[in-house]
Amino acid sequence: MPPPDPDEVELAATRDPAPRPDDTDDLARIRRVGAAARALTADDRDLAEPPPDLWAGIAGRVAAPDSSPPRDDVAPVVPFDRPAQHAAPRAGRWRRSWWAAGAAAAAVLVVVAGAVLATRNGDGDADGLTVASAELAPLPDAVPGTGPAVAAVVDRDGAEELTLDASVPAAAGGFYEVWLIDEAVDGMVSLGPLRADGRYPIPAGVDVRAFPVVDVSIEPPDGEPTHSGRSVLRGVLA
Amino acid sequence: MRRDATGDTDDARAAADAELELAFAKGGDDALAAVYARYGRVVYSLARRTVGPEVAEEVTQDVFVAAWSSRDRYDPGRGSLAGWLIGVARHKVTDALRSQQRVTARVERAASVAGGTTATPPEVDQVAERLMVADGLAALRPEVREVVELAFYSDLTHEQIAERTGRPLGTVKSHIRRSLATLRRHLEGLDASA
Repeated sequence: MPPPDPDEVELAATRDPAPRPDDTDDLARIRRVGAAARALTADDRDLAEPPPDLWAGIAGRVAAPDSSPPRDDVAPVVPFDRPAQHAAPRAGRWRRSWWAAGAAAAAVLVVVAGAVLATRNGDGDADGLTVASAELAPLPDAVPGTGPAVAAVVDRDGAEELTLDASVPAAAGGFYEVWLIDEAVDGMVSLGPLRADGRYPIPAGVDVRAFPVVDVSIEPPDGEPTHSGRSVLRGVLA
Repeated sequence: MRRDATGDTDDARAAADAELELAFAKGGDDALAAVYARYGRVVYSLARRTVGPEVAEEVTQDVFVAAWSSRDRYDPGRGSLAGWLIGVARHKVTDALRSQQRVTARVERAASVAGGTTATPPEVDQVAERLMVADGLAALRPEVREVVELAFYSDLTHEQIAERTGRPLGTVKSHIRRSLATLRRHLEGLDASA
């Protein structure tokens, strides 16, 4: 008798929960998987979306494990134009001030923006000069599988451009749109739908320091030009 | 068209999951946010189904906070992060139920009423396994899921599934094999966090 085809053995095991004495651990688990799958109810398949503010609670507790309510941990808002008077800028580089703002906190809490001052001399190259960058964290409203993203503001001979390297699954019934938002998460500038080349010219006259939050939303194709409120990625330029 | 390109998309998904597991284990920036974005729904659903909607939010928070603080105990070599998280959730749910039951028991003693209706831990185990499989199935590409569901819910042979779905036999077998391996690894993760 030829040895049994392992694929056939596994297929049979998905349909037969009764353990056999010669089951390997893997096969025993396949029986459990099959039994669970066959026992699935419509309720089981209808996974519930957590409330939108749940993540903020987790983020707050992780950021400040010893303090009580996460709402007390809102990071102070630092005026964006605050002169960065503490450290001398390194020559030829942007001076950056970083505040710890949990990626997470960016989801719901008002986050801190880094003050960015420039001493723009040289250092440019063919790809332009990176003047600020941000790491964007997926928010709870993101489609599962959305990964963290990286954004940068690049100065190409005086014209600024946002580059955004994001990996997002298709958004059913909508499209992704890129925004620059102010610290108060109130005023915002649309940079248009998510582009495959990841390059978004920043309109002349728009000061990224006034709109330091990079936000990606999912927009329903409803002709409504404003932000849908469904942000899926967010980070703060610094 | 990449109708049968099992390679590309499935590999990319597997690679993304593996990357997420590694980032979590290493405590990388934003890793917890990404893990929550991916698995918040299944953890919250388990909590909702077992301890009820009022307590579910708190339990879900407890799960992710506990998972993050004990992330060095998660070993991708011993199972999936999804399974491990569900395992952590199972513990938290069981704790919450026990404390509910203690309260209920006191109330019942006072009122001389017997019995209780809250879920008992064995039910939690079953719900946990079912929701994990439900989430695992939901994460499959639709064309893969179609094949895998026929494996679970029909009595068709591989050849018949191939015929029914119009896909080559080799593709059918590989979809089933890979999906079973993924789902089995979720259970390994669950067992590892026991």
